[in-house]
Amino acid sequence: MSRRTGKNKPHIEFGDHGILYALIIFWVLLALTNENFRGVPFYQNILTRASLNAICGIGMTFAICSGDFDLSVASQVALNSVILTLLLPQLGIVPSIIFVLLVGTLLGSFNGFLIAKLRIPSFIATLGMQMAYRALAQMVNNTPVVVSDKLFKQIATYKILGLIPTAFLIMAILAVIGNIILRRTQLGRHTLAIGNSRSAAAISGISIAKTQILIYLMVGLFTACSSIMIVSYLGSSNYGMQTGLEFTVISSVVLGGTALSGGKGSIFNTIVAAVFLVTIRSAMDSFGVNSYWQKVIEGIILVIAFSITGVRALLRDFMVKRKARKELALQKAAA
Amino acid sequence: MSQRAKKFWLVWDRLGTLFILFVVVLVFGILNPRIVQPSQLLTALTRSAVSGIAAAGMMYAICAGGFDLSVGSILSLTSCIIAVQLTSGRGTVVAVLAALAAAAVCGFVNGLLITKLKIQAFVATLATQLAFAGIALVYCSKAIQLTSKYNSQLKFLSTGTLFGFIPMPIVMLIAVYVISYIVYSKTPFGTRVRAIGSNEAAVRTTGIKVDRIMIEVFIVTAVTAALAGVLNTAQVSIGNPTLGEGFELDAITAVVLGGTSLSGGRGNVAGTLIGAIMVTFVKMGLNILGVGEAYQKMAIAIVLIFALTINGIKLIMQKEEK
Repeated sequence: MSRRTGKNKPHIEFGDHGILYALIIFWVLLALTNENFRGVPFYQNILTRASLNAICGIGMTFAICSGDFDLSVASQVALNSVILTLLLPQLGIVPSIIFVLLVGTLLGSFNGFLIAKLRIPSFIATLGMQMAYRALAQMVNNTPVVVSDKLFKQIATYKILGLIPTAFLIMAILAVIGNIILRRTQLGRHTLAIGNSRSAAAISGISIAKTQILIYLMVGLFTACSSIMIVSYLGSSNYGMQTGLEFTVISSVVLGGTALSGGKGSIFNTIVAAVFLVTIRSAMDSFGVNSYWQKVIEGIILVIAFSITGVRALLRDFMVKRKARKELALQKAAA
Repeated sequence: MSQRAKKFWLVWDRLGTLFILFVVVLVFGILNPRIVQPSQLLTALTRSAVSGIAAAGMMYAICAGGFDLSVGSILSLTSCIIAVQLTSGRGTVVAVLAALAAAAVCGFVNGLLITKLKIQAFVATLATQLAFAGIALVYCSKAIQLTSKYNSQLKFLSTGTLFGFIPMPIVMLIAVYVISYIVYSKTPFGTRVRAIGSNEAAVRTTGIKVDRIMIEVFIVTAVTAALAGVLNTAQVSIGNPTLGEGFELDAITAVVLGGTSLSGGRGNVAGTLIGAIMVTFVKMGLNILGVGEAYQKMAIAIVLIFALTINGIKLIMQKEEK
């Protein structure tokens, strides 16, 4: 379970934040090498774009902490966005946002139902729903829609005092809420407990089905928040939008040090990793890297992120063997 | 579980897929009798060759407790390699062999990531899906139309016939499944794959080289995906870097419908073939009924979730017994 349970310590774990150092070093290197990376607008842009993914990453952190996944988030975003752009002109901003949040909750809890009640492994259930939600988005509306509401577009693009992007601020608020849920509430502790050992959690009386449904409900809710920001930022929607978002979101969670096997995770690191990935993408863009190569590079980064635990185990193995061999040699020399 | 329920699941494991196929055919037959004409059924069989061949390999991966999400990208890559090789003047055999070799390398990379770097199969292949798709796009950035100058020999795979009446895709499909059946049930490799799927740790202690077999399994999966890619390229006569997008879902659906357990250890070769035919038949039937593409995808997703639900119900009933 959570490493810290004391009341006076800060919410964010400062134990392992290698990704934060990596980000800072990367930013410094970029600023030194290219003058494009020295202005405030560049960082505002990066933070805004990263926030769109990071909001979704907050929910995904919960899913991965519990040892599961959600592969359907990209399609959920498409469905939410298509619905949102249809409702906006008719209902106005606040009612349509509330409606989309409800839709997101519904989609998430349906995933949870499939996984918890029908016992379908999470990855295949969400893989199936990825296709279903995308198809549903196409059924709702198969033509692109452009948002004309200026106020709505301001939600993600306005800069408070001309400096802080609102997208970043909203993301920060949601992250604090997510962190409180993960660290301070029963749901958060149950999530980590399930991720650590499902059978142990079940024996100690945690209702796994209920926790899983709540986790996926939250994934759906955060994904809906993310869709609202994405539509506001892009100013348009279509049923094919944001394919591959699940890659970006899962890789930011994993780069942030959340173990794929579950039981351990940090929302703060997820967000830093999301910023890191967007920075890499912007850097590749401004250095003129071909967009197809970008795909390859992103895949490789993903593989590296996923293999960190395995490589660490290999190194440990190697060190142990070398030590044993040395001792053997010493013993032989002594004899 | 009561005795009766036990018996039911025993029969269901063997004949469940066939039963679902029968129901599907019946429903379509009622909706539109033209769909179940023998000629249409033959077309369905021919069209199911592509996903069926890839599903045969996928079954091994799932049976060994793994998973391969990168088959769609491997299929695209195959299509690109064949098109580029053919248009640059090389022979058909060379092009096909180059594509199969590239796929084998892809499978080898998947296997290495999973066994040596200990990444979960499903996540590793999610990453390589992106990487292989990227490589396909780098290699051939836009679709290449294969004119009759280049694909005269390749075309034989899609339109040719054996003995003048059996279409080549069906010949390939049956050949792959006969080989798959023999390998699965008669060779040590098949036995070991099943053993690894049901209890990897136990197999490791017996001294069997688990890592090596897993790598071989992923090479097999990749190569069958490439074979499907060769056939698909021959059918559409286009080298397309996005040909295989979403293709992995068809293959996985076929395997799951066929009764292969997702937790590993129990595969079903014949069931996989029936599953692949069913997926194609559902798509084709909906097409004839004039149902749009989105609804077709929805139908496949529903069929997949339905098959998994039946599996889940069985699991719950078995758990309650304990």
